[in-house]
Amino acid sequence: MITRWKKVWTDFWGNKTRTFIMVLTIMAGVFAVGFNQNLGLMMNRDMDADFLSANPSEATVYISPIDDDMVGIARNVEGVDEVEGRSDVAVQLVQPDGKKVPMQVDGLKSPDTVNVNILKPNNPADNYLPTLADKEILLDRTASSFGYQPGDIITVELSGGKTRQLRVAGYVHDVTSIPYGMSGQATGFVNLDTLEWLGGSSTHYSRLLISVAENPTDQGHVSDVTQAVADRMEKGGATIYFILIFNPGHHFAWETTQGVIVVLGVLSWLTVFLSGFLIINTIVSLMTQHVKQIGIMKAIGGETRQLMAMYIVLILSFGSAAFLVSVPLAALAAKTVLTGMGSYLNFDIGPFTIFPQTVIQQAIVAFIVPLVAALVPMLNTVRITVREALSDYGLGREEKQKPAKTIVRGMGLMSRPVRISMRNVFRRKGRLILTLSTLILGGAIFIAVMNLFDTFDKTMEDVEKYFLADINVSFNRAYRYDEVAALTMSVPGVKSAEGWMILNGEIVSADGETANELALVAPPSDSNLIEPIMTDGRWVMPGDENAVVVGNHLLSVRPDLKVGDWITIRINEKESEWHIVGIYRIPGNVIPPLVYVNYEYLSQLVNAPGDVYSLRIITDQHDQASVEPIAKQLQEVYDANGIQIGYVQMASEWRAQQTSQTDVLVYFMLVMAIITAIVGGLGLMGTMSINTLERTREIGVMRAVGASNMDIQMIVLVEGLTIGMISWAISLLISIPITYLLTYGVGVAIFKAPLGFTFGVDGIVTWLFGTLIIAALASALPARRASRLTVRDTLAYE
Amino acid sequence: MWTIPFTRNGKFKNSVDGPNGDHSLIELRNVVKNYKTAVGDFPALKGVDLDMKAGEFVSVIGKSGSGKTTLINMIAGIDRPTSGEVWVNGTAVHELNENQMARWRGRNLGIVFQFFQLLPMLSLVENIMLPMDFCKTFPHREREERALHLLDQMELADHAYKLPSAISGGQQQRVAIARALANDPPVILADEPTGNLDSKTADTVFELFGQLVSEGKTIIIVTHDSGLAKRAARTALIADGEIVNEFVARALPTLTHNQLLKATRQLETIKYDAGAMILHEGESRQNFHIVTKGTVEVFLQRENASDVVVAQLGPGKYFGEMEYFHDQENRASIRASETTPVEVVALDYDELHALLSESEATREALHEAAHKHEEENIQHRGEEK
Repeated sequence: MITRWKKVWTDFWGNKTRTFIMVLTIMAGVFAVGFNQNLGLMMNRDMDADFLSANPSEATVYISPIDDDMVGIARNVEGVDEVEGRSDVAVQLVQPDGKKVPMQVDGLKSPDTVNVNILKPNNPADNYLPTLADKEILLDRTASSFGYQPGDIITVELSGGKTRQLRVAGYVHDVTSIPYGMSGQATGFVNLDTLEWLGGSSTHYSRLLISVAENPTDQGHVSDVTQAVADRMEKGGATIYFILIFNPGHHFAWETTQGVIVVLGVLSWLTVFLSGFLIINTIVSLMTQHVKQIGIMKAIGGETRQLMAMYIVLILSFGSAAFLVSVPLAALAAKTVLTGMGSYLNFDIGPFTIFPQTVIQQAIVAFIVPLVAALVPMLNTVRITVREALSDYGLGREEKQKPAKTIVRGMGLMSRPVRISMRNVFRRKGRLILTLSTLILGGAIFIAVMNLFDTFDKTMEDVEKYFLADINVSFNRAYRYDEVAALTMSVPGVKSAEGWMILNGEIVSADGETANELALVAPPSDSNLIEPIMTDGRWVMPGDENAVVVGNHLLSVRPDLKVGDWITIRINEKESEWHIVGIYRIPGNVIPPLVYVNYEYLSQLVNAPGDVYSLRIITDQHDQASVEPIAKQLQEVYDANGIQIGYVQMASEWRAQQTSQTDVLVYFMLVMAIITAIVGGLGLMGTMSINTLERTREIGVMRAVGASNMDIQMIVLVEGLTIGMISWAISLLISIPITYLLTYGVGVAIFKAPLGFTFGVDGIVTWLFGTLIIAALASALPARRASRLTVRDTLAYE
Repeated sequence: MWTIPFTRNGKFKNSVDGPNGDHSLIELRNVVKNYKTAVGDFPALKGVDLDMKAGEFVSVIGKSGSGKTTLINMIAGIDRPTSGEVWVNGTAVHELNENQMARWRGRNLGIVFQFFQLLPMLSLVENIMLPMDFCKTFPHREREERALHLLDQMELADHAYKLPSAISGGQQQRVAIARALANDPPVILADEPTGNLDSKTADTVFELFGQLVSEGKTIIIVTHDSGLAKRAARTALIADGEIVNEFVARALPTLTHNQLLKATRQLETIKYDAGAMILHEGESRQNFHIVTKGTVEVFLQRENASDVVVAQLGPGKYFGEMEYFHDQENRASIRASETTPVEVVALDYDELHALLSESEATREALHEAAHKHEEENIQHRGEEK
């Protein structure tokens, strides 16, 4: 090997710590970009592939019972590709410990004759579905967390309180259903005879699953075709209860995952940017260490272009190592995370793939970014003259400017070593700026991500204001409030219970031609379990009769509505006039839109005064440990008294269910924030290393005049901590625009509207401690190295 | 002891081989170097003129900060003059750009540093091969063989594949010399090559330099050790950024560097053709003379008008000291030798007086010389009678 290339190799391999830091620095960007790209590509490919292979319905029409003939009529409506009727029963899955879980049981002629929302084998490798005999049930695989094995007997409780035993025939994969973990409701499939045995209908259907022939992702088109089907069904004498169209043509989590990918994309390129800063810093550090060697090589005949070529090859070697490790690592990590997401979001994962477009991007980050980042410091150093290179290296070069007088004056009260640290901080301003840039950006991203968490929390708090109870009970039918309230209050620990009415309805357009689905929510007029966020007008008051408060979700489909307007709402086929008295806002996706009215008036209007569909219960203690036994006891009391309940849900369960989608995003961003923090820490470590290296002689002088190990270590540590604290202060400011960007982007991507800006103390305090820890760790090694130098070593240092 | 057995071309371009050639291998013409500092320009070299011939062994001495390293850096192209010209082996070094400089330096100069400056990550043999790699002076396959041979000449072949950290300082310096010889350059520059070595090892290094000079290399070393400097054939003394006239330094060695510099500044150069009369006995004179080139003859007039040559004075010898201490009337006649032209430098007696009033040792030395020459003259005259 030609000697100069041997030198390049020994530079690369001989100093493993430096090579490790350098490779890690480049890897951060290469990995982040690769991970995000791979995750996005695989997720979109696999989620869509699995979803579309199920011939998914774009719309579901909830309808009064219809037979096969009506389904046939629906199938012939123009624009329809396929329609399938489904009938189902709502039961409670009774677990061995007595806990009940809501379960929807669909009736099928046979699992393998389904044409819409096709069921697939639990294991993608299997080519067959389990058969379904009488009194057998196929469970959706997302319910496998209950631990049932094929052949096990499960108990379900029917709406009337009767129980039935079913044999588990196996698991299937229904990619079109929302998984149990997120919906809190399990899904099962039985044959039609069994469905009838469970109280359902074997001849009539209550849902129409509609698959359109064209443009399945066009919400307007899907809506038109579905409306045409609904109209045709109504003409045939059926009643349409509700039409559900949510993200047609896409997996239910598609929007969330797109949000995740967008945010991760932004963060990964920020990491590349950050990594670029760090590369500059590390290269400057490396080149500083090599100044003398460059001088020697030039003195013995090395030309600038030869030296440049050597350092370019060295940089490319670092890049190659980062590339070789990061490409498979990013792909594997993406695959691993995707497997977890597939399990969480209920879709099958395709084969492991290395995507060429990802590899190309990673190659750019691994090779081009470091070269571009390193170009200026490399050129500056290899173009140094031999005299400059060989003169007086080892002593810190003198500053051209004196420290600012104010800084010096302010140091009067500090101890001498601390004063030295403070001066050292500002000695190399260019390097300080680079180090600060890395740390500041890392810190700002970290704080912004933490602020996003706070924003999610705030959003959840805003949502919770509409669901303030400790326990929510939903009944399968209307019950007398007095009856269920008395039962509820008999349970120790229950403080109060409010009875609410919830009814589906439609807001009819002014010309009476079209209608939009909505749900009327009617709390008692004196309810204190709702704290609405009003954007206009007022909330419903005691004594209000036909007053209605509409929300932002209704306004998104009916932007013409305003306070003072009169609207027509159709409830149970009857139309009534309502006066809009206020507009509220609730974050998140709400389908259908909710409008709030007085319980007293609505119950009169539908001739059911005193009837309630749900109870909102407040307990004496609000912590989960106290509430959980009360919820269990309530269930037992309702069962004992024949009350048919849809679910008994604690606030904590509701919250977990609500945050289940945003949690995915939160954890990913936390990982990215930690990566940025590590990158920032590496930058500081590099700076502190080179600072102490440059000051080796100074350290020797200080030791010679009596500085102890502790003094030397303190000087280095305090310098590192000071840089950390400066970066922390500035990152607070920089995090403000990044927080705005992030909350806006995530809000638009996931919630279809920007989220409110929240700047919490969590991020500030966490990053303060993070910075101190990173700074202490980053300075510890250089400080230890500095304190181990002997006077002889340091003064002989050349 | 050491011989360098095979060379690339080994010939000088613009010089005659050997120390007695007429052409200079290295020429500095009015070289000025100013460094910018926080308190203004610092003049490191103030119009230095210096010639060195091929095959010379020259030591550059001076106190710390006198400008000796700057001077050698000018020759090596490590630093550039603020003004003036530097010619080495026919190349205008001051006109080369950084890249041309590196290439030229690699092929024409070998540099030895005080702190050896071996690359710590390369073995000894690789350190020696590196200049050959950069300059592509020898075929690839020959480089290791040559490097090993050079190491063998330095008696370090057994350590060839060790790292520099595994050998002693003296051994490292020998490797550095081997590296300097790698491309077979005509000139070796050494900046304090023994500054970091014990006296025994320093002797060995100087022995090695002497050997290289005998093989035709031109060696310039910077040292502050005047004892070692004397082992070079020629010494250039630098003080306060100026070259002290080396003949003055040789003639009046007990003056301090600054006094020598002061004297140098006062000198007047006078040239004489071969055989030309310089001074007549009995005439009054005002100058102290030091021969810088050629030979002068000191002779006494016989009664029969013929003369007898009582002394021949070459470069570094002086005359006029007897007259200074006596009546300033010439005690003998002096002429240029018949064979070569003569160049002398003249120092006014007033200036000499001022110098001697500052240096009692020099006064005593001159006085003693004057006394001795007076006695020799008397003796010669007695013999003539």
